[in-house]
Amino acid sequence: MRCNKMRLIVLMPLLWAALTTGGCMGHLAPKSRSPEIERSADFIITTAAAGDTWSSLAATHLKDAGKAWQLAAFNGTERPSAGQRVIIPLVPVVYGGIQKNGYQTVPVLLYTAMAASPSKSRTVSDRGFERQLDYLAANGYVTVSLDAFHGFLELKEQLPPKALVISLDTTDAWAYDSAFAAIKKRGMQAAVFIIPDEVGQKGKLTWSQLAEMSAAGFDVGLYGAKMATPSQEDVKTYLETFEAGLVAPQKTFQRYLKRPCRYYAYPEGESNDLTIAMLKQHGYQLAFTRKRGTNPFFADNFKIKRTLVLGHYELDRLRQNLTTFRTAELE
Amino acid sequence: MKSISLLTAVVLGALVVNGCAATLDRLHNLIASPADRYRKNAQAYEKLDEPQQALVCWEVTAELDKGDSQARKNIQALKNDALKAAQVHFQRGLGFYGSGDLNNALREFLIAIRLNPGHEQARDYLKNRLQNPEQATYQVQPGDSFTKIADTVYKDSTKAYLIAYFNDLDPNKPLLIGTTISLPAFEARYLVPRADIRDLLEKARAAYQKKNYDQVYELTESIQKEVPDHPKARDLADAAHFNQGQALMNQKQYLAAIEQFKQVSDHYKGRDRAIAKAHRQINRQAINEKLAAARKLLKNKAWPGVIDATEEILKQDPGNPEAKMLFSNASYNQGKMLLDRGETTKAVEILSRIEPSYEDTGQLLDLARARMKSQAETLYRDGVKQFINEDLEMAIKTWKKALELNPQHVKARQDMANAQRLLEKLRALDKEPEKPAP
Repeated sequence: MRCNKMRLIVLMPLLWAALTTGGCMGHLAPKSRSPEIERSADFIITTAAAGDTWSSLAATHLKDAGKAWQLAAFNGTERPSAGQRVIIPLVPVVYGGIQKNGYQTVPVLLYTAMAASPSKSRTVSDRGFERQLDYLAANGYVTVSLDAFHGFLELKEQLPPKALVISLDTTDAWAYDSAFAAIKKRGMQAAVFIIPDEVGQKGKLTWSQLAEMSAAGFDVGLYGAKMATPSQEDVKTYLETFEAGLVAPQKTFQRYLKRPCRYYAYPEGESNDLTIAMLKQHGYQLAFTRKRGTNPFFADNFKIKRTLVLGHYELDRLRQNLTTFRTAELE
Repeated sequence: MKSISLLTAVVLGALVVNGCAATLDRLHNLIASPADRYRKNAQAYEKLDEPQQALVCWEVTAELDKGDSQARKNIQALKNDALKAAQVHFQRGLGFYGSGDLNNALREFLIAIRLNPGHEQARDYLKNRLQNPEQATYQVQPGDSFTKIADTVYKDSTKAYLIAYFNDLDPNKPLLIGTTISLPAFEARYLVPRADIRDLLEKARAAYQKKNYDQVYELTESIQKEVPDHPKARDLADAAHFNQGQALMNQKQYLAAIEQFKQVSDHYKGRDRAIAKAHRQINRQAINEKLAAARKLLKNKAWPGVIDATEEILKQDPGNPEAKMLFSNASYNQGKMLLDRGETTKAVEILSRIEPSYEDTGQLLDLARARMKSQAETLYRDGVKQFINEDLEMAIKTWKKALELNPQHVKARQDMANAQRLLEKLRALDKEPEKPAP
């Protein structure tokens, strides 16, 4: 029995890694023909059909093939066999990634500039970026959507043990030309934070490109506009203008991307309580700083930490910023 | 034996073809029923002290094997134990949090969540309080308002709407006492008081110093339009209304003073006392006017008028000495006059209402009562005569009058009763039909 127990625990990350190396974007997974036998608030019981994979079962029953790892871990096998009674959890089994020996943290990588031949320290080379993506894939890291990340922060979603978020603070064309292509090719996903007023300008992203990225599973968020310091007499007017800057993009997003704008990146990463109050007021769910660090489930949703990846970062340096578990005695 | 050999051969063959771990997996799945597998997993998680994982496995077991009553019992027991244990850790966390040991508080709150992910309070501490230690909280006290808190915390009541905004509250609705609100840390640039409000306030203060209260009202109203319930503006307006009310009091314009006092905020010190004092002054003024009228009536010997006027005053101010004196004077003179006129009963009625020691009231009363006794006796005798003359009805009426003058007249009472009985009998006889003589 101890063997079973240990195998279950040890195999989880391996099973998940095996599932993710081939990519598991939801829209790519075939549908399963497995019938739903029992359903409770917490799980579904079904019988795997011939040809089923965890991805197909997750796509069918959870509408998200990306959760295949969760099925594999819970059912304790690398792949389902035909006729196998399969359990599909509908709620997290390990809430917030808390275990007796610590808790999960989610790194959020930030890229602000990318070019074929970088001339500035912040600019990551296209090839360097691809190498980093390959490193992440090879080492079992899984990119997750901002919705899933938000679910994790709200204790509503369980993320893969080595989950991370890739974010791009830019409206520049490289987000589509270089980053999107590289990320999509590897079955990964990312979030891009844009300034809507810049979209369509020369050298910038277009709404059709953003719509394509969005359809491919990319998240699109708002990059906050930096404003001048208000004059003493006009704080209220200043705040109203500031607020309008949060509300107007929501309509623009809905118009061009047919999806709400719920994610925000602070200009230069500088957060303040007032902006947070306004973001909450207008339905934003997450806001990203540039403060270094990773994020446990109890991180402040409006002060998400990110690691700015600089042009000169080698893979070793990148790895140092990929902590996905923090050790702590929680018994 | 054959089946065992066959199974062994299959296992060995599979091991060679597929590798050890994968084959063991499949073998385990083949041998154990799904319910057994989850039962074993549940037990394993229980031993590992992972109650949430154990709970899910037990729930799956119970669903797969609906006859497993033990699984249901285990679910309930696990839930109860987890809830209790989580609460213990949460309480420990609170202790650490209270003593400022945030690392241990974090650890205990995390354990509470591990054991009971639905522990909302532990989650609140982890998510909000431990993450934002720089963000102060404040519990609303009686008399608080957004502006008052903003004024205290940020030295600028115009930030009231920011506090409301930050706490997702309506700035135009009153704060509920006991509510805990967050006080956001604002950058210095947001904390500069509005210069226009500051200027208006300065002007209002200057006007107040010059006792130009109308200007104070005008300026503070302008401030309140911009910042409703601005505490400093409100204080200035209150002070102006109060001072104006006091000035009117000195001018004995009590009603106008009350109007000013009523415009002062309820909590303003001395407001209610000043209003009560003004009301007392108004009453005193009215009493003095009535006393003057009573004095005039007394001079004209209009005793009933004096009695009515002073009675009214004494209802409002029972201890008023002048009203008492005027009342006694008028009642004495009125009683004496009635006595002289022979209206003894009325005289006694009026004289009885004043002190017997007033003038010779006692003697007058004795005289009046003696007269009444004598009159009663005369009436009694008249009644007897009427009785003898068989005029029973008249006799009864006369004895009634005698008793009115002297209720203690025993004979009058007895004779009247007898006469009444006789009269009733006679009336009864009159009603009976006349019988023929035998």
